[in-house]
Formats: sequence, structure tokens, C-alpha cells
Amino acid sequence: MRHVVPTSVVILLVALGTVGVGYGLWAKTLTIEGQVHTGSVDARWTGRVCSEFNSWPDLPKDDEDDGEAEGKDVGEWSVTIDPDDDQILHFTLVNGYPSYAVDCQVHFKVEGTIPVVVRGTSIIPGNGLTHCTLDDLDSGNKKILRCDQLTVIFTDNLGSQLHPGEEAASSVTVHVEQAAEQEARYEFDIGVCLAQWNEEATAAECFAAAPSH
Amino acid sequence: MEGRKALPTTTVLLILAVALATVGVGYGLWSKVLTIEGTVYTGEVNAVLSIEEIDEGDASLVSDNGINEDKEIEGKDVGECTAELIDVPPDLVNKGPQLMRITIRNGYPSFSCFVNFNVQNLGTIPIKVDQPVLSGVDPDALDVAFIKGSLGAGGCYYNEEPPGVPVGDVIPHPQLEPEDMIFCTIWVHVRQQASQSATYTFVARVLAHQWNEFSGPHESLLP
Repeated sequence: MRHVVPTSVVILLVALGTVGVGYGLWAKTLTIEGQVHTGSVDARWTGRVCSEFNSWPDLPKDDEDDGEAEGKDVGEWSVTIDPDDDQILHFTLVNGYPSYAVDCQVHFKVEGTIPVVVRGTSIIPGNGLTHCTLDDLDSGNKKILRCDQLTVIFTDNLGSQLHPGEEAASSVTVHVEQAAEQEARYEFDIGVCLAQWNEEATAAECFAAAPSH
Repeated sequence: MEGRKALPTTTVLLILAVALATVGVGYGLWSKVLTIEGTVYTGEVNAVLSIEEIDEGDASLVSDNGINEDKEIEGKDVGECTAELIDVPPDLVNKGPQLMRITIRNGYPSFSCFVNFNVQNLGTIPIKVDQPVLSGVDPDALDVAFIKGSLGAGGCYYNEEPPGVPVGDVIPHPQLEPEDMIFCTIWVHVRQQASQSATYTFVARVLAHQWNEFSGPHESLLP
């Protein structure tokens, strides 16, 4: 019995102390709120300037080189921005024939909010093209796709940096080769990959990370 | 008829003396009441935030020099990081700014923002300041951490040092006397997996409590 009273007192004190902590803790909460709004990498095709020429493999140097041979109007070209996706440019030759050649300057604009760098370009042969080889010239700035039926040259400034709102131009040249068949359809894809300026990336990494169309 | 016998004179005098003495006690007790009036004015626990410096850019490029720096790659100014102090609610209970809002606009992978801030005791009771408790961070999109300057060591807090002088070791649960302040840095970094044109949010809460109470974590008390 002697020990019962002190034990009870201790328990009581502890209980009261606990209540004191719960009710008597004066506190103040300071809050840090954070919001991060990310920007975007975006670009779109804006237009083209194209012309036929007859001086292949040389680009036209004067008026005589412009247009089709003998001043005829046989082949037709069409370069249009896809109405549903302004990141796709349709390059079409109609009624082409061996030696028919078209040279275009194609323009694109940076629509995003982050500066970009042209990290890579590609030319991929599609339906109908055979025995294709792809050569990189001028440190990769100039790509030449040589197939039995077509030769496609794409020139761009790899590594060039563009700020939001700025425009840049690339060059596309297509020549119909001797082995092209009549009434045929040949396809190819050209890609230009842009990535934000502050990240190092190879062309392959850039293409792999880009959303597909 | 013989009448009632009168009291002896001596007895009458004695009774009279006793009666007078009794009356005398009632009127002659000199007394004094002492009073204790109690008034307790309690102090207050109050803490506020203040901003020292906002730096943008890689950790290796910025420094704690008391100057807001924009050290983005190649000297560009693409992302924007702001921090503002807000009094909510501006009443007598919550005196001073207890909310800091950090906003990054046009962020991109690798963008970092460092906000150096202070916790100051503006109450009248010494306080202890708990480590910040983070919530709501998308770990794929953001790194958010409390660090030592821009060097990446974890946690708050540090004693304030003059600009350019490295801070000392972390003080995990500092005690602040009234008017004292303690220093920390919050780092927000946009990760590679962050999406474009997205909004990410997070919240960090710092609990300050009076110094003499239970010193354990008080996360359960956070709102």
C-alpha cells in the first residue's frame, strides 16, 4: 500500500503532462507553396519557295537553268503544309520523268517558348525506292539519299540555334533518275529534329524523344 | 408579601463588566485583509518567412551572395523563377508573412531555382523550428529539396553568414529567441521527364513551436 500512492501520483502527473502537450503546444505553421509551369518546344512549317531546273547535278546558276528542258511544262510539283498538322510538309511530284528536278527552300518557325537547336535531319526512303544509300556531307549539314529512282538532297544547319518566334530555311532538292519507272509512285520522308537548346542530344536521341505524327 | 430578593451588588457589577467587555471585543478588533490579484499576460508564438535571394541556373554557376542571379545556360533568360511573401490571413493572430509562393514560368528540363529564405521568430516566446515537410511533389517532373546553399547537402537550417561566406553545418531543430532568424535554401529543379506546357505544384510546411514543449516531430499538427 505504501507504494500505491506514489505510483498513482506519477501516473496522474504523466497523464496531465500528456494533456498539457496536446493542448498547450503553441505553434505556428509557415507554408511554402510552389508552382512550376513548364514551357514548350514547338515549331511548324510556314512555307516554301520552289522552282524546277534543268542543270542537274548542278543547281541553277542563271535563268537558262530554270524550268524544264526546252521550256516545257511537263512535270508538276506541289509542296503543301498538312492542313491537320502543320509539322508535316507534303512534297509531291506529278508526271515526273527522268531528269525532272525541283529545288525548294522550305521555311519553319519556332512556335514554342524555349529556344531550340537543330539536332538532326534524316531522309528515309519509302515505297518504291530501291538500292538507296544515304551520305552525310558537310559535317552532316547536307544529306543525300541516292536511290535507283530518285535522288533527294536535304541541306540544313545542324546545331543552329533558334529563339521563340524565329524562322529558318532548309533546302530540298529532288531529281528523278533514269531508272524510274513510268506510272510509278515513289515516297520518302525528311525529318528535322529540334530540341531545347540546353540539352546535348544526338540526332538519334532527338528523333527518339520526339512525339510521332 | 415578601418581594424577590435582589442580586447582590457584587454580582450585578460582575455581570455588567462581562457584558461591557463583550461589547468591547466586537468594536475593538483591528484587522487587515491582504489581497493578491492575479493577471497573466501570455506571450505569443509567431514566426514569419522572409526572402534573401533568388537564383536561377545551374548549381555550379550561382552563389549565395545576396544578389538575385540569372545564370541559365549560355546566358539566356528563358525560365523565370519568382518568390513572393503573402500575409494570410492578415489578422492579429497571423502577424507577418507566413506563406511564400514560389512560381517558375516557362520552365524546361535542367532549369533550377534556388530560393534562400529565413525563418524569424517574431513572437515573444522562444521557439523551435521543425524541418520543412514537403508534399505534392511529382518525382518524375521535379526535384524539390532543402539544401545547404547550392551544394546539395540535405536539410535546413543554417546560421546566416555574410555574403560569400559558406554556411556551417545543418542545425536540424534550431531554437530561436525572439527576433532571431535562421536560414535555409529550397531548390526546385525541372527534371528530364517533365512534360511540356504542364503545371506542377508542391507545398512545404514549416512548424514552429514554443521551445519548452515536446521536441518530437509535429507532422500530425500540420494542416
